[in-house]
Amino acid sequence: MSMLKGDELRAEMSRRAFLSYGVALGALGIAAPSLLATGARAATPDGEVLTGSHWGAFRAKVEGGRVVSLKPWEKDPAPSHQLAGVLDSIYSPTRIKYPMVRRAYLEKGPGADVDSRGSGDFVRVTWDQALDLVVKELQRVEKTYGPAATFAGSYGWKSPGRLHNCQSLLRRMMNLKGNFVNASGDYSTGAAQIIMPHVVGSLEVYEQQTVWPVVVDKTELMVFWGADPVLTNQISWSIADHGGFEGMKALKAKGTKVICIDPVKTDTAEFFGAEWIAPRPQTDVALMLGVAHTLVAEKLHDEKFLKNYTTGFDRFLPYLMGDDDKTPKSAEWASAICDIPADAIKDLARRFAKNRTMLAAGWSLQRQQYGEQRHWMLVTLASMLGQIGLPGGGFGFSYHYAGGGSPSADAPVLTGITDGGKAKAGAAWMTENGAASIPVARVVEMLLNPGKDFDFNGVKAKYPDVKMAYWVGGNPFVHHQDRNRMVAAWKKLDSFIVQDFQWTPTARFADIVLPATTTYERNDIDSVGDYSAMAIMAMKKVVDPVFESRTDYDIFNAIAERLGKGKEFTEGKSEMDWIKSFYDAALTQAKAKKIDMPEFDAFWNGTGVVEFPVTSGKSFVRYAKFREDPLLEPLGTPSGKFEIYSKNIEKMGYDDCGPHPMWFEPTERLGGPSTKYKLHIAASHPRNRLHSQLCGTKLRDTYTVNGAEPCLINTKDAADRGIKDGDFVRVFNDRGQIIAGAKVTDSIRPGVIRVNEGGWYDPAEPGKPGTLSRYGDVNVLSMDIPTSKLGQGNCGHSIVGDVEKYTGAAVTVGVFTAPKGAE
Amino acid sequence: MNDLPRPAAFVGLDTRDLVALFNWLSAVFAAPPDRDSVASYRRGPAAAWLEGVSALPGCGAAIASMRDALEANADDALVVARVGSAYGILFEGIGGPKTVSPYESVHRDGGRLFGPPAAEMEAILAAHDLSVAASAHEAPDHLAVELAVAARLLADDEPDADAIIERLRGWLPAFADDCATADSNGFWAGAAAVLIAVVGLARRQPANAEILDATKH
Repeated sequence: MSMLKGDELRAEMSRRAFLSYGVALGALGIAAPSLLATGARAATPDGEVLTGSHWGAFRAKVEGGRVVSLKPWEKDPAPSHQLAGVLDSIYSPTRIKYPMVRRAYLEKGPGADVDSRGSGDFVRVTWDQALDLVVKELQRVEKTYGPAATFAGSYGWKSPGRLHNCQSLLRRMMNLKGNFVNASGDYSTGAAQIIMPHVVGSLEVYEQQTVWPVVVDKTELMVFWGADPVLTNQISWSIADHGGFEGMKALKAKGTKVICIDPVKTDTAEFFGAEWIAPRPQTDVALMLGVAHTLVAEKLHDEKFLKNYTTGFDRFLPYLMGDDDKTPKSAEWASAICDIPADAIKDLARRFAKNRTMLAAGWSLQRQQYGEQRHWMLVTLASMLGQIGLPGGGFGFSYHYAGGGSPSADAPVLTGITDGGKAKAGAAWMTENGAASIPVARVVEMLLNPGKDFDFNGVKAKYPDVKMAYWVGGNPFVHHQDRNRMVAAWKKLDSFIVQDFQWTPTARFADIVLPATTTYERNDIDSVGDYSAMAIMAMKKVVDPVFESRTDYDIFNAIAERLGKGKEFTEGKSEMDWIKSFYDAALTQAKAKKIDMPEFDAFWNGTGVVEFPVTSGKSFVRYAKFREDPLLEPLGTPSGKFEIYSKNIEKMGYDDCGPHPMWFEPTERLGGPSTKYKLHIAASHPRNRLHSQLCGTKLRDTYTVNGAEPCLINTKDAADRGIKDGDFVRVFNDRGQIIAGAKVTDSIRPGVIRVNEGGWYDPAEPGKPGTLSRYGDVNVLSMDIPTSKLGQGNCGHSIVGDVEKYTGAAVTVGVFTAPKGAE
Repeated sequence: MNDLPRPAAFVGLDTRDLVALFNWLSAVFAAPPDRDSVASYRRGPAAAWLEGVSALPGCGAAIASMRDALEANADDALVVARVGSAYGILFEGIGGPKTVSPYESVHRDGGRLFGPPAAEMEAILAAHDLSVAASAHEAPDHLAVELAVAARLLADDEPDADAIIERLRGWLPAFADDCATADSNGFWAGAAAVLIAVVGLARRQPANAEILDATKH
């Protein structure tokens, strides 16, 4: 720095005098918040806290009131590497720090300047201001538009915990407010959970499978069909037990033959050294029909099983053999559609029949147009093989999910906070309440077509006219299909409230943003193991809430209080009172069943975990009891048997879901007769996230390609397009365009590229139709159509498009500019 | 009587100047400017303040950048909106992966908040019987807090002031670079550049150097 002299110096001194002599910021008219206080902060004890997450249980080391490290629970047989992301979740630079309101909304009211949603222009407000705005709007919308104008069917994976179940809490508050529009089903099994009760008489998809010890012992041929359990079993809805990994390790050690049917050579295929069969995506039903035709043609099907345990095969057979439509669904017919050689299809049929075969299907199969057909046809195929109910044989639809197949412990049921609605049979989150309800994946359709009739599982209803949506524990601006359509539809809302802990793409599109705590900043309780229920774990608060975040329970309680319903909301219970009540209810059951379980205080203040023994669960075979005595143990179908032909579905008369499983040509598919684009875009679940959770953390740095979401591309497809490994690429179709980073590999079949779902939407020009998403949100490209009128499930895996080397203007991905090659 | 030697004066800048500058910069980065602040920057007392700061070495272009953003529109409200929106996207996490975090931990400790720097700042605050005000709901290693602490310790003639300034020198260059890259509004990139310049000026003069003492002229 050079010294100043002479006149320069004197001029500067006069300016310095201005600086120096007691110029207070207030006198300058500059607002200056008070940041420091006298007196040191009270020290908090250091220690280690056991708690849980979707990725498993872990011990958090706390020093000075901060989490400094995590280590997996010592009893986790296969900890997930994603656990590192948990620390990032708590301490991500994208934490929502305080309540914020979109500027135009704050200044001009509901419905103001909706085109500016997503631009990120927010103003900080106090909690009181934010909650007052929320309540005022809830009341205005109900008074002005009626009970079916507020959508609270908020969907998403939220966080584990039986009290701070934010979606139940939202609906609990809404039920006290008056009414709302709810949503049924989910994006995981939207089609399957509707078709399966018709076919097998129960939900099936979230029910226990033939357990892994039996599979290891008896299965001779394990077929993972559109399932990647080595990848997807990292996560669970409750606290992950990772029990499925023990089963898979044992299966591998045994040397059981494994086949993976998937367009990608998955982690599971690599782990088992499996035989990899890669059909064209969306053609699985054709492949199954080709196998089924071969079974009949070569008299390999089990007629006795079909006669005693199923109904309707005789009405399906003419379709299969082409007696009615002159198109036998032969291996040759199937081969032309699915691109697997006919001989290979026939060989599959023979091997399935010859061996004790377990057909383990994933859920990507049914997140496609006509998705109901996949699981229906698979059950039909398994019925034709006749091994259902035999140890190690039949089918399973949850081996890939949350440790399905891990033996169930002798455990009491742990309940949780209710939303005030009537419970439905099925998964724990299903209740019936609300002034109206829509299938969850039809949310954009609802906004675009209020008053329009829709069919759903035999019932007709009308879409309500919704003016406001409150979202919690989810990220629809990542999980929902056809992003551009969604952005346009969302403009219809007067108000959009988002409650979350991180600035997700959904939060950026909100009008009012409320900062919630993570699971680790509050007390809660949950089970370990969705299927095993092997333990109940205290989820003790690890650290105090950061910034101005509040627990979901406190937020909704504050809203309920403003509505004059605080007492009804809390029932006079504190957070710990509720947690104790859930535990005590389980304890009552445990005592009746003579299961060992300590009193609450000993549990909560002791080890914080109570484990339950596995006894009869070790030998569970699905449908064994039905097979043993179909008369005394009938299925829940009208016939009491597996329904290959459903009279109920026949009566519905749907043109997109017939009375038995069928092949339907999708609107667009790889190799389809009228498909414009040359590539299928696989959108499977990522290895390093839970859908979109953890995308906003440093974990992203471990897998991105130059900061971009990876796009797997076959070497031939890449060479044809001049794309090299590491290149920025534009993936596109008529619905939109995204940036991704190329990973060239032969672990994906030609004609298919893969961009995992869950990448965060990052529009270059928020609100502008067709704008480039600078980060690879694959749902910019997917179709927002229902699977069929029966299930109204989402079609997140029905995507075609193309890819090219990106040559547009430099984009900023993260805080780094794109490398020179992209310009 | 304090037997400790007085710390050497800052080169070319009075301690009181630095206190004022650090306090001002703390306020700048604590929150986006409200309407009154914008009005003052444009045509009130704060305009003269900016003029004064612009004369400091390394601050001319930076203040110009801030002024350009302040003058970009005739309407105070629109300026508040644009500068405020940029603040949120840059510093509050709204920008998602494009966030330029104003926390020392993020720059020094693997990209996360509440890292060891937060603990270190907590300890420094405690050593001086201070803490982050409960009403602020802020981490102790937020830029605005560190600047406020630096100002306080300078004003109290505490030797630890130098250590705080040294901390700031450690991570602010990366912060300012990120601001320069990511800020399309210009106000914040300019403010970050002023910050770098001021922290650079906050060096004690060497023992044998000629003293340039403003009070003697």
